[in-house]
Amino acid sequence: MRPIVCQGHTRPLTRVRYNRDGDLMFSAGKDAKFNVWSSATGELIGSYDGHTGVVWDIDVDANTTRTMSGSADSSARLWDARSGKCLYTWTTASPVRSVAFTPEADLALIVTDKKMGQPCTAIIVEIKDNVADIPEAPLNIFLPEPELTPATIARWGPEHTIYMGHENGTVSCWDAMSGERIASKKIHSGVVTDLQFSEDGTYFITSSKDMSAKILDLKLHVIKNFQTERPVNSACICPVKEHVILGGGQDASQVTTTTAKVGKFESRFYHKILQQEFGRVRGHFGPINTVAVHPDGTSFTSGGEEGLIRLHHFDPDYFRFKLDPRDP
Amino acid sequence: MTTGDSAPQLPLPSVHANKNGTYTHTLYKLDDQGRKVQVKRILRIGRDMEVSKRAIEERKKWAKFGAAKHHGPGPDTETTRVDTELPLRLSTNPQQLDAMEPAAEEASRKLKDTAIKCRYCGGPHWSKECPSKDIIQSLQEATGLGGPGGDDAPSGTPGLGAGPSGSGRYVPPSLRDGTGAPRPGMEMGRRMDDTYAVRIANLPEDTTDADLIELARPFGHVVRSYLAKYDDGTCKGFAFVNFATMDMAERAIAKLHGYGYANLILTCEHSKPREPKPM
Repeated sequence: MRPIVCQGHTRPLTRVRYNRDGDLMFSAGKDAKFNVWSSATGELIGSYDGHTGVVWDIDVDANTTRTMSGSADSSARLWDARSGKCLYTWTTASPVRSVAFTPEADLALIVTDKKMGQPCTAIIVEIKDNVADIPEAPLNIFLPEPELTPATIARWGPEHTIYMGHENGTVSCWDAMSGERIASKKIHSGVVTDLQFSEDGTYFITSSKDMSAKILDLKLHVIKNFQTERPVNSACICPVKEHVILGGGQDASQVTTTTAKVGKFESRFYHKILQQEFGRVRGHFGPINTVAVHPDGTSFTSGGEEGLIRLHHFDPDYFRFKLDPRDP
Repeated sequence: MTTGDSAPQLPLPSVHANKNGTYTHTLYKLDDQGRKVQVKRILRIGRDMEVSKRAIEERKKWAKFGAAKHHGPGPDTETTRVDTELPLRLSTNPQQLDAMEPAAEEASRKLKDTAIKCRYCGGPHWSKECPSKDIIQSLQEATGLGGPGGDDAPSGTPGLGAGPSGSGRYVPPSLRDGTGAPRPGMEMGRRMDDTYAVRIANLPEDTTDADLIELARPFGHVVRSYLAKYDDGTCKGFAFVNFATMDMAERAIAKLHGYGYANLILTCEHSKPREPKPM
């Protein structure tokens, strides 16, 4: 396997994502940049320029016509995917932590941080084909934080539900239309760092600083647990093989005190069912902040604290490997 | 904005994967009169590969924009590079995963797999291509350990010979047989050529090779001279001169040790063998 290294960010990566067809890979970093790459060649196709603060989260709609980004400059932006033009800007009272399109891209979710004296809020906005029709007033605003701590990540579940991960390790489920909390449960003992749904949306994986990643069903039952010995910053579920990929490593603040070998800055492969680790990929020399897998399962991308994106296309070895004889 | 306690408890939504590839979404809502309503939707989730293929083709025509606006077609070398080959280490045994050092593991596996074995060093290449062939060959000749395909090395791997304890660790031929003492003949023939080396130190830094030869020639035939230099050509301050006979070397030392050369006092002595490195 020869990874492709993409050098488009000068500061740590915050998020990498593929579009639904998997031909494009999007990346966001703390240097306020939001780039799009070809997932096959690692070629830089363009950048969505305009943010002036850390871009915390990005999303792409299902048809790859529009992209969305949320930034610490207290704004969320809607972009034209093809030209990089900013179509619409939502200004918020505090930094934006998470953004997400619904599968139909008729609604979007913006979650703001509890900062600058403002509470953590979830804002549901409408998105129209014609940008001029986008109403200025959001469809719904609710505070997902009575006794829960601020949300760090939020994703759409089925039927206008929202699943959120919180700073104290709680995972919660909300009704986007009424703003009511449907359920919440303490899953992790540390900050929930990532939440990614399976391809069919029937379960999701959460990762946490408590050094574990967990697969939960929509009723917030923990189905699988993947235990490591380093904080997990990101986790994703492979669509074709029964695998999950975990990215992490020791805390960025402690990196300079140890060598890269001790830091365990590896992408780690676990068997989804057996919960056993079976593979590792090295290469990053800082903690891995974000991982994403191609929707066809042919490649995966990791973004590190050192500002590099590594795009890995799997070898035939990987597809032949069977931890269990029943594996596909 | 309501907390869960005051809201009527609604069951969580669920998604059920049906056998025909569709998904049934079930969720519960309260209608206008506060009654609990169950909503069911059957969805087909997935991608139409034809549509997807067409969309990908279409996107290949995208013009570069933003930071990549001035990049030519194809990956730009400034933003994209291909890294060195890195293995995805796969193992059914988690403990093994911890122990695996990728490079060493790879090398040792290759070594094991290969059917080719060098007669000199046991490495996975043809004997004639062995990088250390000359050294091993001359050592074998000097020590009389037997040449290529020697009689005392049935497997033909003298270079990889196991140590006295059979630990598999490399033991140089001079230290074999468990005694640790050098073999006879090795003391004299430390250097393969039988010349006599003299070390001259405290040379001025502008000394050249020609100066060195000029300095040493009066004492006899100089077989070889070596002046240690930095990258920029200035002298490091010491040199080695090999004379043809012991007599010449002795004369050079007698004369040059303590000799004033360009306002420096030279030291001159028999070149000593390097201290053996700790194993």
